[in-house]
Amino acid sequence: MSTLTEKIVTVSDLPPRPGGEGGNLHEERMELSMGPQHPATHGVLQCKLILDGEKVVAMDPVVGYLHRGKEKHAEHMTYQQFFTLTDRLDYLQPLANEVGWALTVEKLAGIEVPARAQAIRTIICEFMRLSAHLVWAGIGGVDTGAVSMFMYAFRDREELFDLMDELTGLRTNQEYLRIGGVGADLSPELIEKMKKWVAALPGHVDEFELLLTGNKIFHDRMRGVGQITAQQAIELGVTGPCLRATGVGVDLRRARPYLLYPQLEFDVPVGTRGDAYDRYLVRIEEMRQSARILKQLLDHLPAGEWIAKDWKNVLPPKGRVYTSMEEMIHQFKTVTEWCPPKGEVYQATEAANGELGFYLMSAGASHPYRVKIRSPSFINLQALKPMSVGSYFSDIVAIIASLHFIMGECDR
Amino acid sequence: MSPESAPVLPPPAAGAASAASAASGAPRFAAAVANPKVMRHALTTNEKLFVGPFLKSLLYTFSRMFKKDITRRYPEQKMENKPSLHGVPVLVMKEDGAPRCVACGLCEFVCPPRAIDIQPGETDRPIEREPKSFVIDMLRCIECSYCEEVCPEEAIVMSTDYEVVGRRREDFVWDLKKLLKPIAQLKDRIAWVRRTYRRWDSNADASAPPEGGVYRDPRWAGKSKPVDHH
Repeated sequence: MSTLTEKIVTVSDLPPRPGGEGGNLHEERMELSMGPQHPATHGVLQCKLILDGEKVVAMDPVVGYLHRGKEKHAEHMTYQQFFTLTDRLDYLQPLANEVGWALTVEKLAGIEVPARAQAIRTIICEFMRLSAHLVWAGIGGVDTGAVSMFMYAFRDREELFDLMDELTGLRTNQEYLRIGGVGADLSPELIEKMKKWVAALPGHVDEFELLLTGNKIFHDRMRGVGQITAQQAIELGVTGPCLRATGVGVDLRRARPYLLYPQLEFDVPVGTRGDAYDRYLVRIEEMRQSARILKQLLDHLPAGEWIAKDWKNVLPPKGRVYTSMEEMIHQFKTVTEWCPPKGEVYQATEAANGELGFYLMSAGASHPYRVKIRSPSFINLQALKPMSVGSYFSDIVAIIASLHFIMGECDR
Repeated sequence: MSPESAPVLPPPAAGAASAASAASGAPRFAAAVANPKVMRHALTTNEKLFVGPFLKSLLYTFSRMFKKDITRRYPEQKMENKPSLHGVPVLVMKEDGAPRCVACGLCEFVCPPRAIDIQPGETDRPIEREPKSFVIDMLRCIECSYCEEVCPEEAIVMSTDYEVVGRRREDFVWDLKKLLKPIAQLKDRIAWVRRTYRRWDSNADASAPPEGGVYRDPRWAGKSKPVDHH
């Protein structure tokens, strides 16, 4: 594991090459910097590689090119304002990050969220998982040579974003969650549109499988590539589909249930070997399971309020703010001086990439004292090194595609 | 799992909240339910030869030509404007040309990227206070609609205008002259705001300010004189 002080490994640090340095390109080791502008590194990851021919002898991932200091920013923002920054963590699933932060703050403040709001949150969590997995299918296809996959995956994602647009008013980076509920109600027309989209999804996933699963090129690129054992994955702290691909069936929706997940029926698919192909299969199966969850939720959406009826923690009804001094004061106080009690909480949710956790320390002020984000992308990225060393150079692209870390979340 | 065992939503909502808190004392990972293993597909001879799958995917791609195209030809073909759309925030201008804003500064406070800058001033109108200058930097604005949600005067709302262009940075710094939009253009969004932000109070709609700006609280009907704030 490299630390901040540790120097990036160079050829001179390695033991002598077996067979000796021949002094020509075929018989000497080469340092190669892949990224941070390389299109296959999914953002701004830099991989410092040492190659012996096509074999990777050593590799060091260099992160931090997208560091924006979100954790420090949180100390200068109110709890509601920080939602806008959580959106920009994993930008493929902005709402799932918002749900994580909302659950953390509500756990600290002890706010009861009504059933309908919880159901809407569960729905958007699953939609965001699909959004992230669809991008993964598209980009992963491009990285392994199936360029048309990009078009088909983004077709579904485009329609998904139209639904999110109608719900939240924005296509991406929606600032939709509120402490105590959500920002607006889910209209019956929109539920019908969502049902239609969800019903069509399993068929589209079958189409992805038609293009990829039995494809020889895809097989050759993915099978046996980037293999890690369950033991290694647990030691590295890998979570999410990358852990489940090694055969460990840990899903926080099951293991530490939140929202309405305990009441839903779904399977947690696991892989057998922990290679890139298993990670692909697990994600594909998760898309089907998400569609299953969404179907249950959309068919049985609870009635009721979409935000908690909590005068102390939630903004009062707008009409009364216009007319009554009491609610006007509440409005100003809640916006400017809403303070949860002193304390520390940790709340983890199962995001598309793994365990997304927020550790929140509150000093009882209107701003958090300290926020630590346990981002799954950063920790899953640690597996890149053991996966790549010993493999071929072109496998790195497939490994990065199958790990699917988001640098926005990794660097925070 | 049989469909009979499918839980019907929703048993009480409190159950879910308490389940999460109860689990915090439980071991880190609860015993996993038997998980289905994904099937690793072994290539058939046909697939190894690659001719069949190649033709199949080619046929699939070809068949897409005759299906509905979801691409929008954007500059010519605009997005349909839903009332929930967040365009850039604008200020509501009443029929007499004055802003509704009373420069309370709540939107300035709540704005996460700090895009709003207000300089309050006095006025002879009954509201006594109005913005002398109200500036929104549209390069900073993230269209989150927090300003609209907190505004106690329904004075700042999201417009349907999502195309902001300019040649210089100064073009994106909008002042009162650019921000004020006649109330007639913003009717849809104002209706959406009233419908949405009344929250659990279904009566609150009735007490929202009528267009004339005269507030009447139903709870105080007949007890006090209506006040013309604007």
